[in-house]
Amino acid sequence: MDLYSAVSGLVNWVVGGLFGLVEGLGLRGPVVVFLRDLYGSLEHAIITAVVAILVLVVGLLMVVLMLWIERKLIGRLADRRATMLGIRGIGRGTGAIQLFADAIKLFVKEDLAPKKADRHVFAAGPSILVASSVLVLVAIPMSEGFAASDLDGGLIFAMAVFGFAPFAVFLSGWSANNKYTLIGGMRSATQMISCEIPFLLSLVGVVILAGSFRLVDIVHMQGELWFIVLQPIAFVVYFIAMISEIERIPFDLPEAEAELVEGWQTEYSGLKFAFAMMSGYIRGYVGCALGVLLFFGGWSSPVPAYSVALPWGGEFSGPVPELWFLMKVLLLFMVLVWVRAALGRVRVDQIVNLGWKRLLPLALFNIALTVAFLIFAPELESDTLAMGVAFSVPSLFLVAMFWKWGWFR
Amino acid sequence: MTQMWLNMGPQHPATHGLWDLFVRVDGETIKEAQTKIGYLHRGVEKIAENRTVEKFLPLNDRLCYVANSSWTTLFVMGVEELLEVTSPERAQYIRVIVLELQRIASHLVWLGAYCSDMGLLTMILWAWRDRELMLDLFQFLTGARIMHNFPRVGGVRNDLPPTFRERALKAMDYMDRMCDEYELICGRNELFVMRTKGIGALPLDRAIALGATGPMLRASGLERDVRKEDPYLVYDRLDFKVPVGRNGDGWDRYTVRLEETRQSVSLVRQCLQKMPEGDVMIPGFKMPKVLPARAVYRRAEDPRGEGAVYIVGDGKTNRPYRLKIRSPTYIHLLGIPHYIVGARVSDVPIIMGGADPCMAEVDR
Amino acid sequence: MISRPLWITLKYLLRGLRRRPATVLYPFEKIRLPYQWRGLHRLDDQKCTGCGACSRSCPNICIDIIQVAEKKKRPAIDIGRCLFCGYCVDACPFDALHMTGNYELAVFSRKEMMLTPEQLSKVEDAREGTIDEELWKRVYGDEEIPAWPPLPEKPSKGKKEPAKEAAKEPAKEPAKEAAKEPAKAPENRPEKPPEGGK
Repeated sequence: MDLYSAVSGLVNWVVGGLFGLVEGLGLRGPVVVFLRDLYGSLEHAIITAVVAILVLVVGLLMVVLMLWIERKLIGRLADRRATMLGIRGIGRGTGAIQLFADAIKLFVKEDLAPKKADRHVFAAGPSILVASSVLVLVAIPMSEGFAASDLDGGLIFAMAVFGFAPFAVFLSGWSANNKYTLIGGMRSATQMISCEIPFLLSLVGVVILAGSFRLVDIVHMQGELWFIVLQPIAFVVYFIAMISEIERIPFDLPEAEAELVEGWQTEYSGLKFAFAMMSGYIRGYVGCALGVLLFFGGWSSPVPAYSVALPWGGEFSGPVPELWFLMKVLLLFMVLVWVRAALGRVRVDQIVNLGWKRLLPLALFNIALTVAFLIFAPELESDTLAMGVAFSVPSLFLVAMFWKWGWFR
Repeated sequence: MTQMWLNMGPQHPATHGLWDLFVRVDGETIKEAQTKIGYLHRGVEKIAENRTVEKFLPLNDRLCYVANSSWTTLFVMGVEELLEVTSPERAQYIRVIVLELQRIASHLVWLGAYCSDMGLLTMILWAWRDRELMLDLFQFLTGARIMHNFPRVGGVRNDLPPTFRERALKAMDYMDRMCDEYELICGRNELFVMRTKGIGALPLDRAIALGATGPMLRASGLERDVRKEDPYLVYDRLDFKVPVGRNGDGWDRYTVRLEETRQSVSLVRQCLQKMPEGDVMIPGFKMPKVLPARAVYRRAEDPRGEGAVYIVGDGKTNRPYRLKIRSPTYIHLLGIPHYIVGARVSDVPIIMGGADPCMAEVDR
Repeated sequence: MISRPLWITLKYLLRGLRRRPATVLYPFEKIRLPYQWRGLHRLDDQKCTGCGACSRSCPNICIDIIQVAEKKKRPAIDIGRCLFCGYCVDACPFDALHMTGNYELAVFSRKEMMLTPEQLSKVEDAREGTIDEELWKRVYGDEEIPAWPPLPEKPSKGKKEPAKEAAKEPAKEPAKEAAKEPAKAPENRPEKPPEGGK
């Protein structure tokens, strides 16, 4: 069932109930008629707004969950326990309230701006960042039913809005009238630009195989065989470029604590800092979600369809695609956390080196390989196993050869 | 882009202390640098002129918050040389054990801070966790974790507690295993190698000209160790190697210090085996009422380099007339502007960290 | 390349499922301290005679000998200035001052930091903690852990272990010397301690 129709049914039921109540109370008159007409014309807008809020809430809840997982996992990977504060006696050791405590602390902090900073741009920076990060949530379907929209150019839209962030970061860095933030902003712009192109090119192979930009179609094309088997190089390039876009370790030079105190975020305090941090994790969620949709089969689950009879009558038919999707996103995010715990920071010129000289040729090579297979062996498309072998073996072979040659240093 | 002066410090997460590196950058490249220190100056040398030797001993611990007993032992050795007494052999072995454990703890702190400047978040946690073992041993032996107040003129404060030997030997086995693990996460980590190889390279002639000592000099290629050249305490009876690097960059400093940690582990083991029975204090020793009117220069191998103490006694009171402390890190920090030109801003924490600053001894 | 650090962090994650990670959940869990840990002092009122040796040996002039009753003088310690160096304990000839394992000394005002002799005599020896063997097991595996020496029952007796006793005697010498010298450090103290020896 479509999300829009589900929400519209709900909203109509609620409003219908309200109007029925009003009628039952005996209120009639021009005001009630006016309101009814108003609702009739605004129905679409109200339902869309509710859908958007619902998707936003789910996204933010996922962000909270991802923050919690990150802290706990980083602690465990470093042989320590992390985020243990819970409510005393209940949930001690879970760290459940730590995030809310952090959020409340950031909300009540004083909102500063340096004296000579460009106040309006300074305030606009994190807002643009969060806005662009959240806007991508529109294009990401969590399953066939649960999607805010199913755009024809969904992937293009997601990538375009995702790439809006360097602009916002650069504005924030420049407007704060601080040498540290300036360097941080410059570095961020450099890094994001240099890794944006491999990011986009790595998806071209997937799009060629799937034949469309619609994310739902891409997931359906992976029904038999996930694209990671067919496009391992693309996944590697996408993964590395995604870490660079999100600004996590090993690529978090713009906010490197050791060199520039917090980089472009130095002058932000209070809610703006909360926005900056939150946007990082929202982009992390978006990046992982796209990765899952494109390479790991989206919401497909290995369990066959089953249905369970509920004790209060009715039936529950599984598997639940949204939950499988979220679980895969969390697993991919855990790999990101693992990478963060184990590896150090890369210098900015090394990132640029990596982006232009290593990732870009790999992505182009991947596209060439995909196109070559589709031209010279189109009859293999039906036989998925053969296709899988035909794609992955040469790719992995070439990657192994490059590894041995030390091309990746 | 125009060149600008950037103030890296005094409150900065990377400087490990309170000092300031004032750099002129052009984009990301450093064109000129100036070191500004003195934020932590407490006038220790002046205080020493107004205190007797025993009352001044706890203040020596505060000369480096990471490796304290090395400074107290150095001061006590200086006073012993001034008074021309020798502490008994068991006391000297115990002092060497404390010094080597301090060296391990200090290098662990350095490693943790070095890696955290690079973004390796787990290494600092592991280094601190293993340093807790050393601090446990210290609190068992001396009674306090960091400010030990352990050496006395003429010996040490107390003997080894009953089960100290077994615990220390087991801790050394554990440290051996952990050094291998540090190799895995740092030394074999491609990103660590990328960040440190070739950064802040200090060729040997410049190192000697700038007055580098200790691990900085050994990383540049010269095999010089005060424990071998000018042996004090019982180092001439112990067997250890002195690690040497080649280029003097961040990578060599890392390998030299890691190897030094391993050598310290082996030294502690040797001391625990070879320790004779005996007193830990010269029996019936009384501090004289008057320090002899002489001057004494005593040096030792601090974890950071060659520390030295210069004590002048006048023949009238039991307070030193002048105490001068040579801090190795002071020399290193003042030499940083000479070889940091041309590096990038991202490399500054690596270069700063390679000199292992501990500001309490720089500013005294 | 990058596989070693990834592998070793994964190993710690998996190891953490079996045994304890290296975290002590203070304040719910505390570490047991050895018997010579230098925490807050405890005064044994019966043994102290008010001789002032502790006061003279303090490097930072933290101990004042005050009159608490007629013909009874006892030391009062300002723990705001105290370095917890242990000189006063070494200097006491009657073994009346000991250092306990009490380190939770935060107070709300500076006045509360100056402890009267009565408060000093009521200090509890808070050495009970929970974590010791587990941490050593984690470090050293399941081998037999050498035990701490038993905790003293009464502070006046148990502090001196036999090995320590023999070493403590000569160690008191330089501190006694400090006590025997004329008091020069407390120049700006309002109240002069008794001059000369005890």
